[in-house]
Parts: sequence; structure tokens; C-alpha cells
Amino acid sequence: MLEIKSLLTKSKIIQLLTLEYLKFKSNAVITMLIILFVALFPFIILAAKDMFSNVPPPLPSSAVFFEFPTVWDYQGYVGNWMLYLFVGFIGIFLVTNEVSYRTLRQNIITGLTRTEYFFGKLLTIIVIALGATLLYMLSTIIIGLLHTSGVDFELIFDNNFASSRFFLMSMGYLSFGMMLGFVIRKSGLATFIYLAYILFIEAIIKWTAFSLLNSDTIKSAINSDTKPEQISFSNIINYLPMNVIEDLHPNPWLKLPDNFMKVSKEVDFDILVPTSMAVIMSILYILLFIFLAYRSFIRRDI
Amino acid sequence: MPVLQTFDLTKKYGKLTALDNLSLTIESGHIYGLLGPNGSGKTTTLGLILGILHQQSGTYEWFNGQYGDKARMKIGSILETPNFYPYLNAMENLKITSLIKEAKDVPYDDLLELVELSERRYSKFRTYSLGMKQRLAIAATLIGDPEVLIFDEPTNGLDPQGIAEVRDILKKIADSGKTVIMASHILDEVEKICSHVAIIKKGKLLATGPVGSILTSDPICEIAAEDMEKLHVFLLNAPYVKKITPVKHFYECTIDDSVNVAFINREAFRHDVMVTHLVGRKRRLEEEFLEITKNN
Repeated sequence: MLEIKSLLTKSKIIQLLTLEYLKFKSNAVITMLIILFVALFPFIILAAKDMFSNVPPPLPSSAVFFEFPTVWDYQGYVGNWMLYLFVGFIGIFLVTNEVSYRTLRQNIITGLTRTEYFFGKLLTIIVIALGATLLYMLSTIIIGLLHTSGVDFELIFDNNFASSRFFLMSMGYLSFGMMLGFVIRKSGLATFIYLAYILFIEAIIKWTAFSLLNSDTIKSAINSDTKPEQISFSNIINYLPMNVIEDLHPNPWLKLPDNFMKVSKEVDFDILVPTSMAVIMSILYILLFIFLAYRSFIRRDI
Repeated sequence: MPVLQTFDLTKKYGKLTALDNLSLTIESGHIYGLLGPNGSGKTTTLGLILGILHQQSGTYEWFNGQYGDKARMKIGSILETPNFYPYLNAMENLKITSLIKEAKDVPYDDLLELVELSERRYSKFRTYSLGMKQRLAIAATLIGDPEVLIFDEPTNGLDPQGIAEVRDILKKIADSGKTVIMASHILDEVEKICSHVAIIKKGKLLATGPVGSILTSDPICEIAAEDMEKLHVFLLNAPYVKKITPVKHFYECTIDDSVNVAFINREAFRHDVMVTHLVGRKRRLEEEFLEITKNN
């Protein structure tokens, strides 16, 4: 408790953040990732103007991409991919770079406690997440203002806490990356696991669990030639970590009316986690990632 | 006042015991050499007392525990290799050290002057030669005017000129009155720089004390006689003979500093032992070191 108190002083926070800034301000990989994110994220949605000039029903027109209030969802979904592809890696490299340069151990030898060092990384990813959220808010508001006729204040901010969800989503990717950094410590392997886990390992776990949970129902359905009415597999498998973090700003098309996206009435499962659950579960997972990273870092030889 | 005390420090890597119940006391002002062959546990010892490795058992205490977990703020250390951000220059790297050490008004010019890197201060660390990297690391250890300095094999891998330069700097630092802990496998280095020494091998402490009493040994005398058995009895009964080792056709004896060869010759004659071979010499440090490490 004493240590926590000494960490939460203004001078300690400034010291640790300044330290991280000095270390990484001219790090090629991290500055490149930040530049790419800042340069691409605000504008990439504009490409949809040409790509989706004819949108499939039930969308009225591609204008929904850019209009309030739906622009919050679409820009949020673009941000989802951008965070995955650029920002999450920063969480990894903030740690693995220092492992490979052996500056992590040198920082400790020079005088930081392990908790201080860890706290510095945590503060850094919080600042990055805040920066990404700010970029999301500014770019969304500007795009919305440019494309919506007759805007009023209420319409602009009719977004169901989209910015807060975006911040959580940023923290989700960053804390997952940071945890992989602290636990795996090798840039290459951590990067691979980060990419692979989010892209398909979690999906494999999900569908393996799905078929295991429902094997009896599926078999009996095949044998008796009846419709598989009982497939109401619990939505538990939707609560795997990166799935809930992604569902903070999911593909807005998946939210469209039931008859458009649901496979059939008989197969009762939700494609998306309800937003409130996504928020709660994401917070829990972020805390878990931070805890696992810290525990690994405190316990191991470095 | 003890700067560092370790109590039965033990570190295991799987089945291998890298450090076995190491207990040391290092006093303020000592220039303390940790001497041992490669793989003997020197770096493990330093890693433990610097908090980057976890011991299986035992404890250590810096400065009688007065700084707790922040003791490393009062210690400047190099462990194994000089570790800096390769894409930053010397000044940027030193400023990072200063920020961690919370050191104000750091005399960068003097530090860089001391390690002869003034002209390369704005070159990126990755462009440095090994000797320059090592010298920058030494400069970094001095930031914040720490009470204790720790150097791990400071001349390892350097060319002869680099070795000479680094030793020169180390001597200057040692003369400044700071406590220095230096790990080395090079006897000569320890002897030239250190005031005290601990010899470790396979994780065990073999001997510790002032360099003079551990490494500067008693004289050796080779002795043979017509009747070797009679000689042996004579040597066993002589109080100034500390140790007798049979070597080929003679005995090699460690003798007390207070006696000389002529005296032994007279005494042998008085005891009716006809000496046929008698050579006195000082044991070389390397021999002493090997002697200590061999028998354990």
C-alpha cells in the first residue's frame, strides 16, 4: 500500500511518463506505428465513398457511414481494425524492445523498482489509449459535421458512450499486447501470437467449444432428420476476451435487423455480445491482462 | 559500517546450484573483488543483490536496510554488458539514467571527459566500439554520485588498449574513496585494483579477506635430502613449515614468512638431515588462486 501511495504522486507520474517519452521518442518502430495510425485512421473511412457506392439492402445508402449518429459506429469499427493493426503492437514493443536491448534490467539496476517500471508502462498505454480516443472523437465529429445536414447538438452526441467504449477498446488491445510483451518477452513470438490469437486462435477455441457443447444435439438432429431446435448453445463462447473487446465497436452491419443477419430462427444464437456486457467484460479482461502482466514481471528473473 | 551483507544466498537454475549459501560482508570504502573462473556465480551474485534475480533462499541487505527497496538509487552498476538504447546518443542515454536516479545538475561534461567520450557525445550508441560502450556505462554508473559502484568483468572482450583505458578509469574511481564491487576472472586485475577479495567457485565461497592476506602468499621452498623419510619427519616437526606437498623428487613446502632458506638449511643440518636440493621462491598469484580453487 505504501508503494501505491508513492506511485500516485504527480512528480512520480511525470517522471515515469517523461522517462518513457525519452526512451521511445526516436524509436523507429513505435513512431512508425503511431504515424501510420494517426495518418490513416481519420481518413480511411472516406474510401468507403467509392467502394460502397451501391450498398446492399437494408442499408438505404452509403451516407449512413458519414452521418450522425451512425458515423460513430462506422468510424468506431474502422478504429477497431486500426487499433488491432497498429496500436496493440505498441503495447508489445514497449516491453519487448527493452527486453532485447536489456534496458529493462538496466532500468531496474539503475534504481526503478519493478512496480515503478510496470506502472510507467501502464501509464504509457493509458496515455496512448487517450490519444487514440481523442483522434476518434475529433475525426468522427469532423466527418459527421461535413456530411450531416441540419445537425443539432443532441444528434451529434447520440452515440451511446461511443468514445468511452473506444477508450476501453484501445486499452483492451494495448493491455493484451503489453501482457504478451511481459509474459513472452520476445518481439517475434509475441507479435505472432497477438496476430494469430485475435485473427483465428480465439475463433478456433470458440467453434471447438461450440461443437463440443452441442455435439449431442447435432448428432440427434442428424439421426432423427428433424430440425435442430435445441441448438441454443450458451453465449458463453462469445465472452472470450478479444471477442468482447471487438464487440465494443463491432461491425455495424451485424446490428442490422434480425432477419438480415440471423442465420435462421431455429438456430438461436447471438452474433454480438450486448453492449453493456461487452463493457463490463472488457473492463474485467483489461484488469486481468494487467494483473497477469504484473504478476509475471514481479515473479520472474529479468 | 557494512555496505552490503548477504546471508546464505542460494540460487538454483533447475538442478544446477549457481550460488550455494553465499555469505559476504562488504564494508564501506572497500574495493572488493569477486574473483572466480567463468561460470562460478559472480554475475549471479550481482544479479541477486541488484534485485533482478530471485534467490531460492537467503537474504541480503544494503546499507543496513535504511533505503529499503530504493537502495539501488545509491548504487551505480554495470551487469554483464553495457545496456543502452542503441538509437539514442550518449547524452540522451545518460539523461535517461539521470532521470531514473533523480539526479539534479549532473556534470555531464566532467563524466564524458573522464571516460574520454566528449567528442562522441552526440553519436548514437549503436555506432560505438565495445570499449566506448563500456566507458559510457562506467560514466552512467557515476550519475547521482552513488555510494557504491558495481562493475561486472569491466575489461571483458576489450583490446589491450581498451583494457588499459578502463583500468585507468577504475583506478581513478577506486582512489576517490567510493566503495567498489568488481567481479572478475582476471587475477591481475583484482590484485591491481582491489583492497579485498572473495574467491568463489561453483557458487561456493572459498576464501575472503584483504587481498594481501589471501593472494599474497607465504614463501615456498622446494627441499630434497638423501634420506627423504628423515626429511619428512623433520619437516613435519618444524613449526614454521605450514604445508608439505610431495612433488616428484622433492617436497614443496609452504613456510612461514619469518624464516628463510638459510635458516631451514641450518636447522635441517642440526637435525642430521643432509639437504641435497633447496630452492626458495615466492609463490605466484596465479598459483595461489589455482591452489585455492583446485582443492574445492
